[in-house]
Amino acid sequence: MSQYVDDDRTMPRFRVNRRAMTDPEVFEKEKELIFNRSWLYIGHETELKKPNDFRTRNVAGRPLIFARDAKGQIRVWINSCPHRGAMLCRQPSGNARFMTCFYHGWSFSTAGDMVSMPGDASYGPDFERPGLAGPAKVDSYRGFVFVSFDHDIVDLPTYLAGAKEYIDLVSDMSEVGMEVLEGTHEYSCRANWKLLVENSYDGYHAMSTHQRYFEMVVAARGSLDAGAVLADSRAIDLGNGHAVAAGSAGSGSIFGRALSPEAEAEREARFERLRAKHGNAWVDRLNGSRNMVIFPNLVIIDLVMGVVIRKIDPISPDYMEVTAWELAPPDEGEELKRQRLDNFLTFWGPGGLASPDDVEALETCQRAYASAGELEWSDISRGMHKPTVATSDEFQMRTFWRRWNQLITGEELPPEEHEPLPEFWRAPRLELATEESVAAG
Amino acid sequence: MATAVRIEPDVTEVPSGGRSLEVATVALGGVPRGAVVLLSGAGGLRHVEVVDAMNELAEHGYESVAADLGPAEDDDAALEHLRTLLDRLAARGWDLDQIGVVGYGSGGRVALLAAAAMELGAAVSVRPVLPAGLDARPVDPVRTAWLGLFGALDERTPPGSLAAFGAALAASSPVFTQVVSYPGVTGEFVHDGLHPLTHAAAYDSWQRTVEWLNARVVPRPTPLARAWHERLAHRERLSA
Ligand code: FES
Ligand SMILES: [Fe+2]
Repeated sequence: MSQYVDDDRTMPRFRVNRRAMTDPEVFEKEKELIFNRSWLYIGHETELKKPNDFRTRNVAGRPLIFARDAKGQIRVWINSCPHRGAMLCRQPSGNARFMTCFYHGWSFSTAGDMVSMPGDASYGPDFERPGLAGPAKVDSYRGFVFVSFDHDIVDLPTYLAGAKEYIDLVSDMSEVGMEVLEGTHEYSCRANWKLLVENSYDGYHAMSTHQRYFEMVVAARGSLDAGAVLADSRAIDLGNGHAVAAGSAGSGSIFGRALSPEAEAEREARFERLRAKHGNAWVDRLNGSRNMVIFPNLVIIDLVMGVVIRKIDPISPDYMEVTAWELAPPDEGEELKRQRLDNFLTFWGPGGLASPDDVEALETCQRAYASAGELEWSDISRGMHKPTVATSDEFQMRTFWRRWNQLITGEELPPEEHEPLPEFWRAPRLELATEESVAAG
Repeated sequence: MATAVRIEPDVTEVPSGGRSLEVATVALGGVPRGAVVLLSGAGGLRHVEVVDAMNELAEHGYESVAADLGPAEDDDAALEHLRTLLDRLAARGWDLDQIGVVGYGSGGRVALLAAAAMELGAAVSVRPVLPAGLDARPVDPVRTAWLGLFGALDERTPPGSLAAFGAALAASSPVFTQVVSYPGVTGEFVHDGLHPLTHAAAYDSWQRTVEWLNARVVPRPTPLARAWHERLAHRERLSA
């Protein structure tokens, strides 16, 4: 048995040792064995609209430049001058075809080529001019751009495995492609990063931790009948440590203030068009909520009323930084967009009615782990014995932890056995001929 | 604007668009970083300010040619003069992407037209005189990254229509564009002044102009850089 994960299938019971959240040695191993060997999210293609747009980001501790070059291709560079190391780009975002290092003035293009160095005659005629360095791999899936620092890693589609289908569901919400809105939520939390991973698809805590939020929703709507939609949901293993907590059709509608009739009609009309394009069953799925974690640190939460992309960065064993973006259909009318923004902000972010409560919960967990000598284990067993697992069970976290345990300790634990997914959660995305495409074709 | 050495530009009369155009030139030795066409005109810089700007550009490594286009002519005639100036730079070996166009007043309008008509290194318009009814007519997309600097109190470009113009231009153009509006000043900020807001706008607009050029105008390669590129190309041919 690994010293961190106790996966007892007979009782059954699943426990995680709290040292996994406090031990600096574990933290170092995570850097080496997880973050240096995974595909990690850097940003969305729609954040770089024009040629030579750039954003600076941190991924796995590395300062990176996320850019679109002059020809429109997405590029990722290490934000360090090949000369003597100064940070080349010191702004969070901007547009520049050439980036000039402020230290000695070497200059590089967004395609990574060196373009000039002051007083170059002081270098010999055979001097090899260095270009910018980049991560081992860069690839994207439906606009979500990932990097990896591992030359030998499997390709991105293989890595994403079942998570691809859920990125499809999120991305299909708009016929013209979803777009990341300008602006970010940036906050920190004095807790281990894995606590926010767990929290991001934890259906169990919703009603207790977020009572305040749901009271607001009830007050705004007059009533809220969540029982029926909550009764039917699934936690699903998507492979490679990824998992999703997916609601049934209509589960998206229990979040947020009610839409105005006009906004509701606009959204329904869009869903109708999507039904013609991708099939009824796919759109029924699309209309359900989904909280997904793509191993190790990318969270995509789609509550239909709003979509958040959340990137979790471990800074030290007991401290993380979080960056979050809103993904939205760019073709929405003004009123629907206004309500979407309102629903997003009243739930998520440092000023939302939900995120601060989550942060508070995680920070108290971390503080309490000071007593790990007396109370060594956390319990994550919920739903283990059941034939089917729901979003309020803890199967999704166990999926994460088994993968984590395998990478950190080498111990392989067999997957949990549950009944096969019902038809609803397996409905495929169809490519139907729509009237327009028939006319065009 | 204190420079240790002040370069007086060469001034020559050049035939352009059926008339004679007075062109000022500051040519530099060595390997200059890039070249700039400075256009002034109605609402633009005074002669001494043009010379100041050419000197400042020289400090940043840019050769420049400048002309005062005088009272606004029609767009075609103005673009004809711009081509005359670009030809002068081409004669000194400058490619279009190594050239920035910076225009003031009606010259700023020409810089915007140039950005729509061709692919230059960069274009900047300072308090450009824009057509009346800015937001009423569709905006031509630009092909050169364009920066527009305006005084918020300039009656010809009220902030509402300016914002709409900036948004429409950004939406239609395949390249990056930016509109900056300075609070509390009219277009007169181009002449600098003692009022803090005027001075701040003048200072900031020049800073942005130079940064806009530096971030986009393709540098002229030094002989060693050219040799390095040839070696790279040769290696690529070998590996292909
Ligand atoms: S460290 Fe960048 S030019 Fe020297
Ligand atoms: Fe929560």
